[in-house]
Amino acid sequence: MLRKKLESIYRKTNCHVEYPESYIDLLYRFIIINQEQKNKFLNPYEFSYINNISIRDSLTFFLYFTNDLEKENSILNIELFFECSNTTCSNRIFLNDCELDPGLYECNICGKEYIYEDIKPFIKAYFKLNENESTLLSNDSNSTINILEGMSDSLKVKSPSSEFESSLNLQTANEGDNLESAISLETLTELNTTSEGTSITNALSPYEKLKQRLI
Amino acid sequence: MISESILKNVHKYEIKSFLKRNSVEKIDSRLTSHRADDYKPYSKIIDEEIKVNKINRKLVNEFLCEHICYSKTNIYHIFDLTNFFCFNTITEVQLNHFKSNNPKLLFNNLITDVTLEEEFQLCSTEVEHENDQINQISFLFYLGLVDTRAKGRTSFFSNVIIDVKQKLVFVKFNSNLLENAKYDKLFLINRLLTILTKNDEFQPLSIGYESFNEEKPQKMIFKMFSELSLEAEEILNKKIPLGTDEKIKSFLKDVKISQNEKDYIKQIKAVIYQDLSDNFQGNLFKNGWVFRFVFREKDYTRASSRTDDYSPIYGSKVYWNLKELIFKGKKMNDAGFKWVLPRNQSPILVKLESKNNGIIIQYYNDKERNNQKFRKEKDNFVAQKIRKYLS
Repeated sequence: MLRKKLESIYRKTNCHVEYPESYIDLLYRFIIINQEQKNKFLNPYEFSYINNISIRDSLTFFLYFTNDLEKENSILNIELFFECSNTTCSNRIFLNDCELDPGLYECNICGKEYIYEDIKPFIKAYFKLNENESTLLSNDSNSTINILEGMSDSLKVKSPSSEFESSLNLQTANEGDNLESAISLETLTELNTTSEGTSITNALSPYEKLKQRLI
Repeated sequence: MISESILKNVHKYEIKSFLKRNSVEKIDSRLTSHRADDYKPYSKIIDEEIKVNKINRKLVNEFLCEHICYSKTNIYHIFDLTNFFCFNTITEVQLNHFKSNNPKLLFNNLITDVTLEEEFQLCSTEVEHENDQINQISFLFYLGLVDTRAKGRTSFFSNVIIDVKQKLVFVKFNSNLLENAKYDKLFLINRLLTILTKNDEFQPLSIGYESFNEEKPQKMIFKMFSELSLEAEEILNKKIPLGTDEKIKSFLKDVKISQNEKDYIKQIKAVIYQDLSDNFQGNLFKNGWVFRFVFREKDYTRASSRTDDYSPIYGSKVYWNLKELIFKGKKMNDAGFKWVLPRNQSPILVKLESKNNGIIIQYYNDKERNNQKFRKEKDNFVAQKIRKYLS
């Protein structure tokens, strides 16, 4: 089910123009592994690292599955956070949970306060699987037909063109310089814009407003 | 006149011994200040001695920089150096030409000659050049005045090092002043990095940096952890008396345990390892050991352990209980290492952490004991390890 849904979003959106089809399997496998490990988040930096994809591409690719404009389209939720700079704390401070006043955040462990302007360059994004999706995934994980349907493409017969496509994309991934990490909100909103100027996901719009307000 | 607020970066007893080393006379009677925040007599005596040529400005500058840039800085934020104007060779003549073409970079400026006016003002730049290559460039930035309870108004600096050899950028602070500063550390770091990459006077250096994908430092810290721990385990294993395995096996037989034998042998041996590690303390592990660690089990549960006296963690039950989990995940958020350098005055005691898009080094217990030479040797050692395990 989930695998199909990922594929449907991939085809409906601009995602299929920008990223090779093989990425769907990478993401699907990544979600399954993280579910199995009982992780709370889907970490795009880890996705970037293990698949040798730049952080920019990893984040943009994730954003395509984060849109909640049409209910059926949304598979992931985005969670923006930064790490408490207090030497003895290091808590992850999620912007959604820790905002005291607009643009003012508090670490809920050590109580240190931050203003948006200071933390902006250090904001990172994790993703979470929507609850609906995780039930879809875990509902009948032993059903043979579900397992077969969700099987990675590498186990199915591949068309020559898809193989060519994936090898082509592997090359471009290697060519891209270093895998950079820091992703400012500005970059994120920039990544959130397709070549036609529309937003990939509307999940960022509250943050975009914040950005505009502070400028 | 050398300002009190700069001098407050150094303790009074250190200034006294500096003056003594340079045979200044009647030091005690000339330095009769009893309040911790009163540095007037100290500033006065230095001025007087410069006037009579007993000490010179260069010497005072060296003394201050040693403290401001090395012995008193204990928090480093590290980023990846991705660009620099000269990774290749450059002759001394070429370098001198570059220096004279860029006077705004204040090469070899004396801190005693700078008027500290603006926050984030560059005070001096120094190049370490060897065999036609630049090893590192060191910038001293003035960040403003900080009021501390103990010493009052103190000039706050950051030393930024471009390590060309290991391709790393170090943004270094004195943690005590950083705690008291009006700006948050994150703001300061970002501002300094922006100055280095965007300000006009720095353009000829073409400095480019990138933050780290959090995965990389976490894997790097794990690798350092595993290097020292596996080495320690091997040493401990050699200390285990011959025939121990057989004894454990026969014990297990006696109590009628026949399944999971291997696992139980490991567990019982871990008890012996703990005992050995506790008894021998540091004497067994010649190269060093781990004294703390923090890692995440799943992505939201933190497990950690540390010894209060920086002694080996291998004496703790927690280490042996968590070991398999750590080695399974192969990632670590922070860890404390002790490394022994044979020719150094004191061992390296550091915490390495993956945080805020970079790597953070915190030196423990190292503020007073280290002069520039010894601290630099430590910095180079840690930088090499970082670079080695980042890849």
